[in-house]
Amino acid sequence: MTSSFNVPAIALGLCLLLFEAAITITGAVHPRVDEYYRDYYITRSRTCWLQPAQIQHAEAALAAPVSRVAALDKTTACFLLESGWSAREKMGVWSLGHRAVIELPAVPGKTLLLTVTGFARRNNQMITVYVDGAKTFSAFIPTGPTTTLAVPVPPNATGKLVIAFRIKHPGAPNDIDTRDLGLALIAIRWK
Amino acid sequence: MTNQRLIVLIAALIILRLSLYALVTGAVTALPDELCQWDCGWFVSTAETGYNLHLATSGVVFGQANWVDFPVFPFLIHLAAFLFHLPGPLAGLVAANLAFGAFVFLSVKYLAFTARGQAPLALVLFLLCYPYGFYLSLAYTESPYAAFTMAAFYFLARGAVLPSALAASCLAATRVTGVLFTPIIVVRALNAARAAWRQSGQRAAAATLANAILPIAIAPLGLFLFMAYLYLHMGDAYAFLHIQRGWGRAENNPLAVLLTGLQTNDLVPAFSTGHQSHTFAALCGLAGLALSARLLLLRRFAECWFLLASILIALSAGLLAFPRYCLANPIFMVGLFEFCHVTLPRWAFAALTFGFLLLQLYLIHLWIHHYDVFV
Repeated sequence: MTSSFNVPAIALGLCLLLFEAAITITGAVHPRVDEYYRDYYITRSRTCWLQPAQIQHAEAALAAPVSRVAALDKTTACFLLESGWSAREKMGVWSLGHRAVIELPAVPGKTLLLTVTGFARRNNQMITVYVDGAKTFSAFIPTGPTTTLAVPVPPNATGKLVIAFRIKHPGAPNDIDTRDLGLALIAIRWK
Repeated sequence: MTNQRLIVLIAALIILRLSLYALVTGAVTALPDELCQWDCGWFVSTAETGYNLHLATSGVVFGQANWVDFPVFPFLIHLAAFLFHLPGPLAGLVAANLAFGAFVFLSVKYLAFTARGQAPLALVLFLLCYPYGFYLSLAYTESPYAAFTMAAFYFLARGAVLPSALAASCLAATRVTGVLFTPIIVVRALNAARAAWRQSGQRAAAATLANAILPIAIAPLGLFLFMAYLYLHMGDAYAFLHIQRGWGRAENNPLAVLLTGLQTNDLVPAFSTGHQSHTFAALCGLAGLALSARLLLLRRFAECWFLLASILIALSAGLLAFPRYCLANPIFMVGLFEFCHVTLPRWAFAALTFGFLLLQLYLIHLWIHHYDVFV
């Protein structure tokens, strides 16, 4: 058994380990990809991968005066429902868990009205709305009847609006449907 | 048997096997194209045009890219095409069968060195006739993966740690599961350090461990070089994993996948449709787990780990194409040979080998007619 240290080999080995660690960490923490690749392939928050032509189509569709979530085509729904949503149903789409995010193009000079309904095991569901990362308002959404949320759009907003909903007490409706529901998005209106 | 005789024997048998394939397919000059099905097209395309810069935006390959193809095999195809002036599918066939020959040769040397049987002819015939061994003659990663696996095990058994690590590095650049050899080198280093401590004391143990840093770093290097390339090329070092979503694959509990496959109970219906049987794939998984258990009982821990971990990782991605990941695994093939050779009388082993050959030719027939029931 040798007791001598092969210093050049050890140094080379340590350099290689450093390289491998660097690639592992850099690749995980800082991928250089567009957000649609990241959302579909890496974080898996979106249900489809969007290309520029599809994004343009979705933006045009969502700039319409009224958009019923259930009636949107697959691409537009995929664009709108960024993360935290269940599969769409006849009435709209339910949030899953504590956080759900929608993305849509900002329409300058217009007010965004969201038709929603809530679910809570007890009383009403409390939500907090964030627009482009800024906490905007909180509201109690009743279970059952629909409610209209007026989301203030910054006057100089251009491009994409990111609206996040923080749902305080999501819960499963019954033993058959065990999803953690809180907020259902039914329609989007620009006024 | 001398090395030269062994090489000549293996080469002759591989040529004979390919001739049988030509007989079954009815094609000689068209054999490379007939055999180039499913993923083969991807490997040949990668060899010819390199890695995609972007995802495919149209057609059946929408949202897919060839980042899932690890570089070693496309490189070997490219090399064969360049050296011998061959078209893609033929270059793939040549590269695959050269690697297959290397695998068979190294398997014989490995078993002989580890004193687990001195029946080289039986092993060669078994591997040539083994039903799922047909994958090792196709332009798929099975043959280079098998060759580098056996090289890594063989060199490690001989105490040649650095060559073993280099083989492991090539293995890691052939398939993602190739990186599973790295823990084997780490454990060997730890065992060596423990032995050095007992024999010569603390300094010897420290030196042994320190000197093992280089082979430990080299073993997974192939994977990391590929990751670095992907990061520079298209921005995602883990694209080989992430792009699996383009085929609808997701990570699942491997045992849950196995159970679901067994419960599907579609083995008989699959015969009539000619399409993949989840039950069959799950049964392959069980066979793999059983062989892993046998290796564990025989205290062949490194082989057990390599086979078991490869099976579980493959299962976690689903049952699609799972049979080949299990049944064409080199440790599975060699392990199955040992089991059959030890357990069966000579005449039964010979009959089994012949039966395997017939089954292999049947699988080739299914293959060229696009039936994926067992493949």
